[in-house]
Amino acid sequence: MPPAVSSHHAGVKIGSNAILEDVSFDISPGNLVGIVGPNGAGKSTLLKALVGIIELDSGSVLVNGQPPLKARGQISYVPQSESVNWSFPVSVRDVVSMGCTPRIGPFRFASRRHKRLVDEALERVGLTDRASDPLIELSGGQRERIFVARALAQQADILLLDEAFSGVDIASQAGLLAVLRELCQEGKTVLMTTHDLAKLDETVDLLVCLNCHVCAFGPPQEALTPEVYRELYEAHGGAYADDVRTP
Amino acid sequence: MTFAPLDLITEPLGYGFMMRALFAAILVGIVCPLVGLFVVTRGYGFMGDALAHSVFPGMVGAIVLGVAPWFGAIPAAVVFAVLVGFITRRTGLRADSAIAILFATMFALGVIMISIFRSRVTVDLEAILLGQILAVSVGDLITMAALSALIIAFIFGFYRFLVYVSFDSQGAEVAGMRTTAIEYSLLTAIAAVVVLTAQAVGVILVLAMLVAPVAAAALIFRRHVGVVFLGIGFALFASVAGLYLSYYANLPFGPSIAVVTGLLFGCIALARRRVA
Repeated sequence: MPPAVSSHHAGVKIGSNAILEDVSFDISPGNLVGIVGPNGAGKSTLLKALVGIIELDSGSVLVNGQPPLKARGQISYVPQSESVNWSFPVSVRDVVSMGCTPRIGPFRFASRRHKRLVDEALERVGLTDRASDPLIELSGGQRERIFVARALAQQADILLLDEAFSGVDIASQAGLLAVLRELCQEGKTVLMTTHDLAKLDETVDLLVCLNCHVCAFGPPQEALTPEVYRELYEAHGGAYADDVRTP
Repeated sequence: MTFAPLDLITEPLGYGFMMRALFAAILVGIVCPLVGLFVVTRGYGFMGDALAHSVFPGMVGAIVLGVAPWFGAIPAAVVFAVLVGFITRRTGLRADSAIAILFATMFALGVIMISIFRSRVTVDLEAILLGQILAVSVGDLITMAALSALIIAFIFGFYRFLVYVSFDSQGAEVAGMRTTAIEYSLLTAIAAVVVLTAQAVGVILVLAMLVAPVAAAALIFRRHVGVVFLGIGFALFASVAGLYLSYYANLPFGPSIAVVTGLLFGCIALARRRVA
């Protein structure tokens, strides 16, 4: 079985500035992967390169053994909050139903099977009773769960979340993580960028420590050492590196 | 003689030009909110207004050549859309700046064309700017109906795609949708509605029909389906009421309809009570 996501010496430049350099890793199916690094480290760029929104200048990335553009449909991408048009008047169910849209196709109505997929996805994330509510009435944590439900309705193998925990309270984070954990146990792969370094060893299986290049990759206890922390956050308050828990 | 309110409605329809105008007003009232949903929720209002003004030289050119204004307006709308894309890619300028430059340039070009061709042909500037719904011919009506049918088919056929792309373009792209093709198709549909509406209400007032009914409906409903259907209801009311107002008060149709849509929006904004 090929890795769910792999990157080989991937590089991205904007003008003459290197945003990503020589990024390499292989991620097997069923892993919950955190991507950490300071602002401007290239975390979002990496996710966008993995889904083919941004083109690589060097190296390659593969999703389920295929180039990103060929693997589309197998991936579900949750962009940062500001990329979503929240003023568009949609209900919770509308957003989850979007997961079925590419398969339903134009000039056709949703079938019973598609409706069942949406019902099941809503139930999995615990939002069945909010299905008719306008999206704007939901909290940040609930909105992230809706996007996870959309991925379920899409029947995507791989879920990429950009800053999913940004502005989400601790209780909602725990709820979202529980859903993501379940998905990984079913063989799906989840990659998420995060700024929250607390309890990473309890939440993710693998960690990509990114600061333009991969500073470390592996289980969080092994990857996020004080040295790596300094390399990541030297210019962003690296003096606190000793506070990082080491194995 | 007894007063019969129904006569107020039926009496004008005894005239052929009023019947044709009524059909034209109904078509405009249906198609405007269909694309208006996307114009309002995606912040395309300025682009819609600029598009309406940019078809002006095309309409003048068509009149000079002795053909229906459509034949000039449609290519002008395409040129406008292509140039907006070209300028933003070539210069890195923000889209609204590129739109503003084209808006002014193309509208001014239309005015210059009128000045140049004044000796050869009579161009009714007021009719182009404020609409000529009372002059709609049976042929115009057939063209409008065909164009409306195409717009309605496109919006209903691709509705789910348009909603997904309008809500989360990046997510839609990754899910396997051809978002660029969908975006361009939507812009083409908006351009078609603008051209169709400009014939009725004039290039200056297209925005009134494109934005106000949907914006008013969005104050009441918070789901796109409700917004579209109520928007169509408001737009139909405004266009038909505007037509009768212009008939009985002897006012130009375009401004009449714009005033009705504005009042409608104002009343709903003041008395709004949201429902899901």
